[in-house]
Amino acid sequence: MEKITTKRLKELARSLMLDMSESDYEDLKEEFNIVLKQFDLINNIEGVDSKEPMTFPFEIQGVGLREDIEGPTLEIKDVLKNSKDHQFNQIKINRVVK
Amino acid sequence: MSYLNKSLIDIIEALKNKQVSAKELVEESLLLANKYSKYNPFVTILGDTKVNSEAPLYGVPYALKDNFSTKDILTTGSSNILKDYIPVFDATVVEKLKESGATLIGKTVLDELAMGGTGVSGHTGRVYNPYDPSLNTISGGSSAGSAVAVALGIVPFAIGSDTGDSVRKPAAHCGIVGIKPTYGRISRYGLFPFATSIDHVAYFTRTVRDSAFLLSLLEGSDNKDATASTREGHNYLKDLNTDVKGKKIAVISEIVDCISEPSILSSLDNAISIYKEGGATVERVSVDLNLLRAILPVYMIISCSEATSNNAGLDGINFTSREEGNDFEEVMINSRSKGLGKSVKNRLVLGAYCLDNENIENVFIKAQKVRSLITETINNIFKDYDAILLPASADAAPTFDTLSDRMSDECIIGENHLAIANLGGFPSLTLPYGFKGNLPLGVNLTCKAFDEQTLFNLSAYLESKLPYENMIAKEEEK
Repeated sequence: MEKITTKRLKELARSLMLDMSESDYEDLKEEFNIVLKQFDLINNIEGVDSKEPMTFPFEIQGVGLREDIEGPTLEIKDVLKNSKDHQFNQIKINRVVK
Repeated sequence: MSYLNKSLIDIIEALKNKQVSAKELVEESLLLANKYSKYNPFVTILGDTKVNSEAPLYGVPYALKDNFSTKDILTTGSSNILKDYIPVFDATVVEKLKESGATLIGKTVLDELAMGGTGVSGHTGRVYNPYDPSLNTISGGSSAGSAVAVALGIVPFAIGSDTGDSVRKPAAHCGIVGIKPTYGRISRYGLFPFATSIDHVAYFTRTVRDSAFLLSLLEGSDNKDATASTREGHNYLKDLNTDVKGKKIAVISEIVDCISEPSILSSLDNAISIYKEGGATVERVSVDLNLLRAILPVYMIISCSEATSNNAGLDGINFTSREEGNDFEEVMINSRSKGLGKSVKNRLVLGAYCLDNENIENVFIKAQKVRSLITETINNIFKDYDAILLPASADAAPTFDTLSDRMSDECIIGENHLAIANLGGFPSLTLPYGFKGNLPLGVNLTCKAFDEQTLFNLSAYLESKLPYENMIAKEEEK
């Protein structure tokens, strides 16, 4: 496992659209030092490489082509009521091209 | 006379016989919810008594973890980023309980976005263990408030979610019954996703009979959740059978051997003796210690990785609390940075690390392969045994300031092995089996996938031989 640096943590956080204080990054670095040692424990097991990666416990059963049946839809006013800002029935955010 | 200190099934009987009314029950439940506010189990206390009198749970109050969508009712996930969020639809489990006539009296506190096992990181503050009135002991989490509400007798049952042990561990720490059924047995539509491949709807009761009764009401396929099982429903209570003669139970030696707490080990010995007296065979089985040490990291890698994707929508744009910024990127960064707590941020960054191009093969995919091997190993045990019996935790609930050696087997294996059932999708139930001083201890049974009937049968037998059925934490009795 790699030796984690604050610079690397900042890159990872930025990829998640997150930022933290310098002291939080220091705490996270300490946390990584422990967790990466724990992660290393998955490398001590024989017979793993021949296994298939397990993505879900079981085959998904209830899928397939279904009839195209009209279902209930949400009212626009309901959809908008959790947004901070809206106009003309649309969620309003900052202009991208100014 | 109080009826809320009775089991769910006895409450339903009292309602049918008109010994108590729905209104009286809900009023008493709300009274208790306010009386016990110092333990902080609720984000929101409600009290809607509009119910269907023909339904099986008519008039029964219940509590719901605040990561299940409730139409027109604040649903926060115990996170500041969702502190004002009011969903526009009900989760399937909420719909089912509405149809069953149950009355939602409150939304309960969890570790923020269900990422935690202690009940300390919710945005409305810590949840406290009801068996420690001095408020120094954790309840366990993440379904902390739901566990406490049931343990205090505020409600006879409460809904939670279990991604690693988030119902079964707090059940152990609070002296109640907590079950995580088979993966997909209960629809997850409307549950805020944490880690999709291991998230389960789960719940608390104070008796195994109540647990069996509720599963029949909550299970079933759902065209809004592709992972919901399409298997036929079952009347588990009707088929409940406490005859354990001839049943075979496995105890994984390496897990027990890393636990040193005498009260846990003596309670386990007692449970084993009880099963043997009933005619069951209880045998120790061996599992590669290195594989058991991998359970916690595999759980962390998979859950944190899936969480980074599942929580990408919490960006301050469409919903969630929005912070100001000069452009939409700044809005997102500011909203997420201010709205999410430290512990959640840490887990998300861990997830990003696991999914990073440099690590995905050696960390994330590797963990998925180890998950295959863990599941295969446990399924091999189920070829010869009906259930696996283990302590639900290595010790009683710790105090808030307890520090443990996080590289010890006692911590890595003894405190985290319940995640086996999430990785493999196995049904798993915790029930009280002893005390350490004032604090309750829980034992866990796990069975093969979709064999909840055996799980209930074996659990009900043990419960019938112990003095902890329908146990309520009462301040005056301590």
